[in-house]
Amino acid sequence: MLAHGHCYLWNPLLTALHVTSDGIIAASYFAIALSLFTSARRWPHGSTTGLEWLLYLFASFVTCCGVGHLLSIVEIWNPIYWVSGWEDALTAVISAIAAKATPKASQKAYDFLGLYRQANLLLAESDDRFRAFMDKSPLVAWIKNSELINIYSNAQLVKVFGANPLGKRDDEWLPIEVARETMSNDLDVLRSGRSLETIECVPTEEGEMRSWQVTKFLLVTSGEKHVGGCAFDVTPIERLVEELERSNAELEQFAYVVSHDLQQPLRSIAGFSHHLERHLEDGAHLDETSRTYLEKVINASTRMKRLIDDLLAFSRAGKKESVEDVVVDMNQVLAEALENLRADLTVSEAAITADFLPPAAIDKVMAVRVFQNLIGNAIKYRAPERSLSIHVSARGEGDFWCFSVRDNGIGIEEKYYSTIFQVFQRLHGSEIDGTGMGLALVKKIIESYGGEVGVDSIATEGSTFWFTLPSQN
Amino acid sequence: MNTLHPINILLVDDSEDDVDLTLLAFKQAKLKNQISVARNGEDAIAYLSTPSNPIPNLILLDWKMPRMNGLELLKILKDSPKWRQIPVCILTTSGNPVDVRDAYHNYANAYLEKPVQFDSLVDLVQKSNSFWFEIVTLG
Repeated sequence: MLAHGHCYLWNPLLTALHVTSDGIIAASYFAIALSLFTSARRWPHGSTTGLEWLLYLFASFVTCCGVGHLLSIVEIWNPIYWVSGWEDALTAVISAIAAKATPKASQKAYDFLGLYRQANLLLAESDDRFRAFMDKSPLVAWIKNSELINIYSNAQLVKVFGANPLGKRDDEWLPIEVARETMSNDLDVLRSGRSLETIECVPTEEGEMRSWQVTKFLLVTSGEKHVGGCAFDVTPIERLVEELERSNAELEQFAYVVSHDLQQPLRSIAGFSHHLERHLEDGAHLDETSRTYLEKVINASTRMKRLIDDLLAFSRAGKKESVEDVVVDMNQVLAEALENLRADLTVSEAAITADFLPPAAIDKVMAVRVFQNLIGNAIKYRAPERSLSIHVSARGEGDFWCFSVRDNGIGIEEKYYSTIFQVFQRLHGSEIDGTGMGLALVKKIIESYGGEVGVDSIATEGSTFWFTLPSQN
Repeated sequence: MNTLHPINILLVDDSEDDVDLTLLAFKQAKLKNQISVARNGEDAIAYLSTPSNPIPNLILLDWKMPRMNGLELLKILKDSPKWRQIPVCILTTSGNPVDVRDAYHNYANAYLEKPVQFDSLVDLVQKSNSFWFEIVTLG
């Protein structure tokens, strides 16, 4: 068999034309095959489209075509027609398979493109929704990447701080001592993976330092760690709390100073009246009228002393002495209160019964004071025509216990139900001893532990005073 | 204990009435103690610093006083090697838990609340006198 060169009559120009063209075509086919092959390799794993196999098929097909053109060059000098024949056959098989697969694959590619476009639209829509939502939020919100560069900030943040930190680290747009705190908190979250709730002080656009209640949390997207955060301005609340604390402290100080300074002259009145009495007695100048007057002065000062003591107790009531409250045995509390009232109970011949009482979350001293006041009132306001009986009981009300002290005393008209719990409010004159502070004290104590107080009564038949307390802290 | 020597008490109180009443209470309790009076913390320091004055066996100290108050004087007394062994009894109207805590934190030896009733004051003076000068051995 003759080589192709003979057909070309070994015309150098014709031979060169064939060699050059076949060479360029082969090189181009190999280049195309290489890029198809690379694309197929890079195709996302697990894709269900099967498109990467079509790419491999085309790469093989184009490679075969390239090899065919290389063989054409060889054939000019060497008649290797069997080799090129088999090569043609291989190309034929691969091209036939490619031709068969192409319509189905191109449909798939088309569908895939549609899905891709739809996904993009959905993504854009979701992104729009996210941005619109975040920008309408009154919270300041942001996201930083693992290098603490701000990659997202909402409109509120830009508005409040008057700057867009996008693409910047905090130390590039905030005062350095502020950035040190915020970045150190960010790093904590990145390292520990735990959310952080704290107060950060960051100045606004006007340079006014504000306190922010900040929540920072780890966000992991596509394997990348980010720190997300949102914050709201608690400066007004902080100021109110400060003001409240100051005014409370002032009030307490006021009550204390008043009671202290009121007691000093009182002591003089009581002391010197006593001495006047003694002095006049010694000189036998004390007649009955003077004695009565002096006794009135002394009694008045005793009563004044009690008022002051009660006022002081009231101003201190409910102030938590210990940091954590405990749950106390209310049976023991009742026993202690009754012990303190023993003298009055004996005189009044009261019959006291009590159910088993559940434990409640309150300071023990305060609880004793509550029972002592309520039972003390039952004794004080007993009905003279019948013997006094008092019953103490409790029932559950959700997370609370409702304790009640029921008596068969003189009772209270409904219109006075709220008056009696006010400071220095009394329904009776001096015929019944009292300062008008007892129930106000009970109310203040119970309310400071989150409970409520009240009374149900039928005038002339008796009253039931009740109070609620949480069953646990 | 100290029957051979007169017992010296330094009363530090700014209120004239209170001083009179306390002195009367001592008289009524038939206590023959030598009582000196200082009107505030500075007065008390001046008294203690005068060599001719005897070193008191007990100091009765009011809490609320002008110029140098009870707490300030207590700190000075307990800080001084010369005076720190003198028992200091706080005698005041205030039953404020904060004041009580401050007093004991600064090494007060006792905290007594002044009663309004004179009889109670006599009783208090009598009892504390017998505690400090009959029961307790002082250094």
